[in-house]
Amino acid sequence: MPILGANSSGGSRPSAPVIGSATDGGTGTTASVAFTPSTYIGKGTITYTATSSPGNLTGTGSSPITVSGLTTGTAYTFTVRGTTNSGVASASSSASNSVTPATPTSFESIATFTGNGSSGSITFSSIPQTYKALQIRWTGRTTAAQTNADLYVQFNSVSNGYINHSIQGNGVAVETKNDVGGSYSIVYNSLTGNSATSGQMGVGVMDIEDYASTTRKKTFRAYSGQQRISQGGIRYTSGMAMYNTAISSITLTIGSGNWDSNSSVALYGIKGA
Amino acid sequence: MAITYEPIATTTLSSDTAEITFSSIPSSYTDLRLVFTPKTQYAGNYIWLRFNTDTDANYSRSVLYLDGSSFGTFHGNAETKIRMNFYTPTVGRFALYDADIFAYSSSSAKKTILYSGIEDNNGSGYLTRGVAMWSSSSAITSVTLTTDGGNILSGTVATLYGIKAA
Repeated sequence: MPILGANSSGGSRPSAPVIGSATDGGTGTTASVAFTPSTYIGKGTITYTATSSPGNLTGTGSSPITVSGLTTGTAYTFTVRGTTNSGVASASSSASNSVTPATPTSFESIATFTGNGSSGSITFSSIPQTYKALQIRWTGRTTAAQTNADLYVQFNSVSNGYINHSIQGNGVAVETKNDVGGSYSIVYNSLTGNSATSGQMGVGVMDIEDYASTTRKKTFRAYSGQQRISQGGIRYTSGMAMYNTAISSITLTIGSGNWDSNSSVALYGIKGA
Repeated sequence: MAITYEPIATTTLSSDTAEITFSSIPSSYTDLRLVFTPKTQYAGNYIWLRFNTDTDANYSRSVLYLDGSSFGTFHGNAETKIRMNFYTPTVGRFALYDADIFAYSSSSAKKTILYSGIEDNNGSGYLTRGVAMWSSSSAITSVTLTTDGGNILSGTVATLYGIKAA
């Protein structure tokens, strides 16, 4: 048991640490407790302990301290106390804010773009490097006078070294394409245009694996299609950017025209275990 | 961050049934994703997808298909529901179907769906990948999976997920 107060063998009592913010640890069963250390320690070194209420679950270390073993969905507050290596304990800090560990997420929304008819190019920038993979999902249409349109993909604004292969079925013929060394990867016929009936949209899902790697070339796949009652096409595309740099921005540009007001493009992050 | 990919409902059949319907779908998501592992009862029982119980000829689709020895493409127009496989499912064999239903709650866009139907029988099998449109600007509030003639068999599992953008 720590010794509260001054004593002849252990020295005087350290001042109490000042509680900071308690936050969800992101695992469903942990919280992170920040604090400002004691301004007076006295003799020796000091170790800090964060204690939960309810449960009296503890974690030790320096700020921020991780407290484990919490119950998902239960609200907790925390206090922090320092103890010297002589066993002299400070008073406890005041209680932290309440935090409730939530069910951890593995598929998170990062950003969304909604078309307004005035831009043909969108860029997701400052992409966090904390996920295993990215997914882009779009519902799109161009303002250009055409029935369908292509989608051009660039990473980090680099304009060379892209490859893509694809296969499409449109009800009439099966078509395959091969583009090497281009200034972007192309997802063909993945959007509709304003010559299509109003409200008819192109859709797609693009998965970009290991986007944060600095040792692998960047590979993606896309399933996409557009259907216009009497015509349409389903396409599967593989693409690669021939460089190892982590992807921090993605630019999606319509082949012709601008994203119309019904268009929506969302970027998601997928966590690994 | 908030959960953005979450299950809305799951149905596991404990007895044979003609169709499975997810109704009262909340409008709070951006897209829906349906995953379905059915067994069918009789030869020629295809798997079909329908929205809001609309049985009019408002559905169209384009597919790419292959079975290991041949491949092709097909277009269907003015159909009363979406056929999710080009090939006839094997009776009593579990298959895998999925569908991404984009902008399902929009009141201005027609509803476009990417889907697939896959089955493998250790020596034979097929893959169908398709895009379909329900030519309606109404928000989708119910999704029905059905077959024709027979039942969807016990043990079938269907799960509907919601995906929400920021």
